[in-house]
Amino acid sequence: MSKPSSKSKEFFIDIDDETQNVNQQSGYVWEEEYKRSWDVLQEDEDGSLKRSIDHLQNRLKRKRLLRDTSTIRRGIIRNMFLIIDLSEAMMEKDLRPSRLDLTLSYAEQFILEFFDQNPISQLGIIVSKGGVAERLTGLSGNPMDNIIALKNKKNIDVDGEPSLQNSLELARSSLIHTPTHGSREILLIMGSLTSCDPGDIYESIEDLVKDNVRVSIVGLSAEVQICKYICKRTKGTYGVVLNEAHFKDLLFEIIPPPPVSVAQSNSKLVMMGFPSSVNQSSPYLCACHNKPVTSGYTCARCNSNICDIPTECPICELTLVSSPHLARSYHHLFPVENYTEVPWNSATTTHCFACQISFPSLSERTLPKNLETSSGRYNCQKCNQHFCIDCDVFVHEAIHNCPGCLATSQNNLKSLMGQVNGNFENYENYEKMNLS
Amino acid sequence: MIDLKKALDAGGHCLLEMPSGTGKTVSLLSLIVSYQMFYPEKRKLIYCSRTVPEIEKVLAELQNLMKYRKSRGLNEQFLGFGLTSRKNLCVHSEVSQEKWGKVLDAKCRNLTASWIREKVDLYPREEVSLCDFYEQLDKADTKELLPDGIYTIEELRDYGKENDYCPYYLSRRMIHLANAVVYSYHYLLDPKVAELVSKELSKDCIVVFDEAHNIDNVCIESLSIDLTKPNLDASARSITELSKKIEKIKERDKEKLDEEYTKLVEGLKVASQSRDEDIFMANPVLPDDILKEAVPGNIRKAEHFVTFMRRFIEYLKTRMRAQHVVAESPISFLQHCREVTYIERKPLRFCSQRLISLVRTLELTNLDEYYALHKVAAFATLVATYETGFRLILEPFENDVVPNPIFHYTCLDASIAIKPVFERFKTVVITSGTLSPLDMYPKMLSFTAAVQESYSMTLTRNCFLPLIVTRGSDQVAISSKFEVRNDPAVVRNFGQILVEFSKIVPDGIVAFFPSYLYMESIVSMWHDMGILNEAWKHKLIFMETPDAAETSLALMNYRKACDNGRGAILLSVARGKVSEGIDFDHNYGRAVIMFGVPYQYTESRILKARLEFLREKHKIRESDFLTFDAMRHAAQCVGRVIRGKTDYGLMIFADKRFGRMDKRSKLPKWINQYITETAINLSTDMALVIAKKFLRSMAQPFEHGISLWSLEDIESKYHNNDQNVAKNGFTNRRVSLKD
Amino acid sequence: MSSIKDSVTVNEDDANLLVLIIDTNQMNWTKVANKQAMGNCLTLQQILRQLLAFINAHLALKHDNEVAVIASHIGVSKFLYPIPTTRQKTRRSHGDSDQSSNSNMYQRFRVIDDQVTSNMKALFENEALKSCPDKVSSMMAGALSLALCYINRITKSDEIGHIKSRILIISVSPDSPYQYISIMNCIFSAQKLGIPIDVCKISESDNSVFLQQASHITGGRYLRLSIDQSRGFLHFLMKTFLPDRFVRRHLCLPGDEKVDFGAACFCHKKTINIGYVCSVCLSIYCQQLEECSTCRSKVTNGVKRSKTNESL
Repeated sequence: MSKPSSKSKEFFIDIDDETQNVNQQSGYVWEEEYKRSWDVLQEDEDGSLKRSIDHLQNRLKRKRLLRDTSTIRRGIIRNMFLIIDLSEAMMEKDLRPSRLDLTLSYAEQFILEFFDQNPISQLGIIVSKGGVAERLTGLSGNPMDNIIALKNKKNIDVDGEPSLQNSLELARSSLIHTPTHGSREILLIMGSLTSCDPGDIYESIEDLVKDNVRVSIVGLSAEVQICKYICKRTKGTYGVVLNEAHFKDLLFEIIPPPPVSVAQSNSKLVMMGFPSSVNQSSPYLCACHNKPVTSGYTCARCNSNICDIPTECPICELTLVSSPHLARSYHHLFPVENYTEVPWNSATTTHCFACQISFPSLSERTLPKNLETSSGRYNCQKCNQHFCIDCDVFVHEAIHNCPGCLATSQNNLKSLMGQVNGNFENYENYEKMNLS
Repeated sequence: MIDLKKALDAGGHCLLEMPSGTGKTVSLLSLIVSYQMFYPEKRKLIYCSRTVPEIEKVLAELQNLMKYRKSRGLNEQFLGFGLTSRKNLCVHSEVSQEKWGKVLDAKCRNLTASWIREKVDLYPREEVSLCDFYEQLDKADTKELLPDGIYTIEELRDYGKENDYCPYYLSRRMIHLANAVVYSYHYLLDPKVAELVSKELSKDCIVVFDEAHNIDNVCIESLSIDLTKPNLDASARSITELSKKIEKIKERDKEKLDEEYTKLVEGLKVASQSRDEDIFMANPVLPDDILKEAVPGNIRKAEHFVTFMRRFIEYLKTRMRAQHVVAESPISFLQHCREVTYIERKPLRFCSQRLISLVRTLELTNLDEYYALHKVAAFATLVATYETGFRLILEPFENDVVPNPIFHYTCLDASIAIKPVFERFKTVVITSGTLSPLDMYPKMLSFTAAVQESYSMTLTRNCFLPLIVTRGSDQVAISSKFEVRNDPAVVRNFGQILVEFSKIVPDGIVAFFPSYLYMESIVSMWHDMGILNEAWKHKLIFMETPDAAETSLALMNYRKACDNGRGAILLSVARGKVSEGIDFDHNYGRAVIMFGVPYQYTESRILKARLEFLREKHKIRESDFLTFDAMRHAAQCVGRVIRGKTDYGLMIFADKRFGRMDKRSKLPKWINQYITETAINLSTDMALVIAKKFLRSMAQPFEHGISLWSLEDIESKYHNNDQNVAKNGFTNRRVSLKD
Repeated sequence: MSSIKDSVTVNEDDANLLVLIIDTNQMNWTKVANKQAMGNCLTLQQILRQLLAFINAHLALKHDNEVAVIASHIGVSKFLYPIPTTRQKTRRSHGDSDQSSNSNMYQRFRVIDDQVTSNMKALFENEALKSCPDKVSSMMAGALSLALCYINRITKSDEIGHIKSRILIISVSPDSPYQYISIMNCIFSAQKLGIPIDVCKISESDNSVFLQQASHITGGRYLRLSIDQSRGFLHFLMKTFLPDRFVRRHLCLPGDEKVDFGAACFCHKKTINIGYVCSVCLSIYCQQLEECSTCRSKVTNGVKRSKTNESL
């Protein structure tokens, strides 16, 4: 179960399911699925089920992996509101331990991951209960504010029914003040099947469309027509959870930046500050929380003391970031190409290039009942190296570099350049960035 | 489709059961149109549907179809349109404002009757008002009237307005030139109407009855008449009116009456009715049964006829005073009538005919006032014509308390009305979503079906889940059986089902009860138990009432609530307007709950008479028929929920009797195939768990795919020279199923 | 940066996996050797011997400690140890006479020593690589990616959850600018997995900015050794980089504390404190421009960007 313990600035990422190590990454949808499909498993000649299980596992892992890897413009600077439904329907126990607890813990993880992937974005939280909506936190770039608000017990009472219109209106009224170069998004976690609205929700939806706000909804019980309509109209996504792990997946799908239409993507040069860090022996008060700190940063424009970046300077409202923050988002702009599966007749390699694990040999080609397994090899189109399924998943989800491309080939420069597709021409600007 | 084609070729009748909302209309149309085009004889298509909205839908489909055919390069002359009552088609500024159909008809007749038009010529100085549209139509050349194309009813009206033609008469005249005509059942089955409209149709037309599960009821109703005391009083008044008028005319223009008399003596058909004469005053018996003889002597003279009618009406009034229920066959009725009033059978048979001719001779206007008299005349004619298959029932009291005597003359045998159709046309197709068990219909309607098929749905995923809930969470068996109807435990369990499902089902739920009475008593008991309070915390509640305006208001608000995310429950009745006509697709109906088995009111005498008749003639057992009828309605109700391939829904049958084999087997095949062993004997909480899982999995995005065939699949399947026909049919289906 | 450092609990009895990335760019090593004062010539061979001793020391600390060695060479990065057995068989037949391999040596140490040296030799002898154009830097990004993949595999296949990994980079080459994004990606994923990256840089004056950031973000140590200091290479290694993750918390290790993340603008390459960032491609400029030179998108100005007064 969740153990929130905090030591000064360190926080644990807790997963709510059975005590699991962060590194272990189980509890995925594919595991759940195959646990239930008894009939799909078959025994091979020795009576062991292992091969068919592996085969299923691999197939399902890959299903989640293939995604759009074209370099398109994406909204990197994001302003998002997270709306949580605090109605009585959230006390249902069909998602363990209860919908509300699960939502809150996943919301924390979501916030941390969101700021991890999108460091220069802002997030605010709104809750909806008893027919009204209230704002817990406004848009801020600091994840801790949001997490503390969520943990505060009195903020999370349940009562009555949610109001879709009120919460959307409240979010919209804050979002329209954000500058247009950032994307405006709303993520709504909806557990109830009904909504108690004061007026015509279709008008609110039209307003949202006009203001370019994109709404995505995660439903916890069943598909509600109005939610589907909202998401379709605002070009967001609507998903209904099947179980706990699926819930997490649906939430985390919102984390990568959404593609932005070309019409909206005239760039704007946003003024940002790159503060230098300061270490003093005696404590001083930071301008953002009025707390005594000894190390921090000074705002580049007004020289006020800030304890942590990325944030907006509370005095002069300049966005303060450091270059690694910007670097975190680069992988969205230059994604790695998907690997293609290698058919058995080209399966000549014996080991994975990246982790040296051995591939299944030709003798393991077919399962009983003539199901053909995959050869377990996945090929990168550029460097023609073969990788195993785990490396494939790891490369595309964590590292966002292809080890084969980086670690081989004579013409390394060209292959590196080739990792970036044609849209961005003067790529060498990037490399000169941090050489002072 | 293959089966349909076989039937078309073979020239037999066929009975097809296809699940609702899966492109049934368009597949029928596409094949038939292709068939028509392919063969040079150009067989006409007659498509019969139940209500005007359905007719509109069919015409819209036909339009799409023709557009598609055109886009594939098939340029054809095709004329298709719909035919409905004057009420929907009149464009005359004054007449179309009338609300009541009969009044509108009468007014129209006032403007278009043949003697009125003759008056214009004879008395040019008198002020005679005519219908401009009709005059214009009359002047124009028949062939040029309506260019090829498919016209929906709206479009026909617009066309008429533009060109100053009367759309109603236009459509009637163009029937013989059309390739496809769409109208309601009555135009083919009801003898009063069919004679006038459909007599020109040749026998190789293809007739399709859509949504035909109630066709036996329609047949029965078209030959049944009910007489109430007010009817008789009104007809007595009309008779006095008539006699006064006759006196007047006798003074003025004796010639006319004499002329009529002579004609009657000679047995000439009185002034052959022009094509446009009225449905209003038609002969109620089937054309074959009209005696082609001269009108008998004692009613030839107008005065005699009037006294004759008066006597008959008096006799009926006396019979109505009886204090107990009387049920007898027509023969005994006639016998008794003769004993008391010396009215013979033969003159009675000519009543309607005589009345019609009298009306014409007298050049009566405002025919709506004579409606009651016409009814009595029709009653008389019917009683006298048919010997078997009918029953006379007099009920002095309505609901055993209120004195409201009604004379029911009911047809018991559905095959009588439809026999001419089957005999006349080579191919008749009967189709619906719920025709199980299939062998019942051929028995009842007395025809042999060349092809009898029931199709199941081809779907990429199970888009609906039928659940049979036989007991509540407290394990008490639930049922709407008469004995346990008012048992509080049963009622509470029903309420529990409603409340729990309203918690887990999004958007709209439709609940059906067997009857209004039952619905009202349950709802009031629920209110006392506080169940309604629970339910409307989650969803708003609407109810259907016998009043049409209230119901449509409730329906409108129900749809609004479903659209806005508030969610709503609609409580309605299994035999009411809602279950017959309204679709609840997508979010309007995510779950359908059948509370109890919708049996008919078994104490009704009419029903009893009919059951007896069925037992004697067709050897169908009473319980079988009742179950069949109940399940047919139940299936019709639950079929409201699925209207398309992306649609999904729950079907909950809440009664322990549904779990029994005899009832389950009477559900159509496409529902039965999804009832698994686990879904049969559920209690409320088990059903809830299954339903929740189903709803979640249905909410996931899914791919279309399996049910669409490509051209290659079809080509590889067919090798005979009908490849063309089949190809066009299937590809049409593919295109329209895509949306 | 307050990042999420050791978010996993580290215990005393954990096994440790050390992944050693050796920059084997011969040119740079020769430069280093040449720069030294006469007498003690620190060649690559000697470095290698010291490294092997270090590896053995690491393995000796606990019986279930593991090690992996990756060479970051000109044009390639490769695993030196462990190599899967099919390839190894061919190797073994070749160089096993070079080292003073006596049968008194602990089996494990000997195997590793042999493999590393023979594979490195094969690497140097590979003719094909000599024609690579860029001879200045080495394939650090590739090596880091390989290391991370390997660590991922080991961690996944370890069911008990006791193995804790870290990466140690020995580098002499300057940063290759083309690898900036790739290295940053590796750094962030290492940070997420909680893998500290230690860096030992042997260079007279230059600091490798990338590697400095790497160690700072992931919570490792960055140590720059001057050429003179590099004579005591093994000494520094043992002192600074031998303690595993658990012990580190209780020690105060040498290495740079302060890292400055100054940003440089694209147009003039000068460090700036306030800059203008393109909202599409995130490139930094020191002044307003008409068009972003990286992504070629037009800059629209008339829109209110922030509530503050623009001219400050």
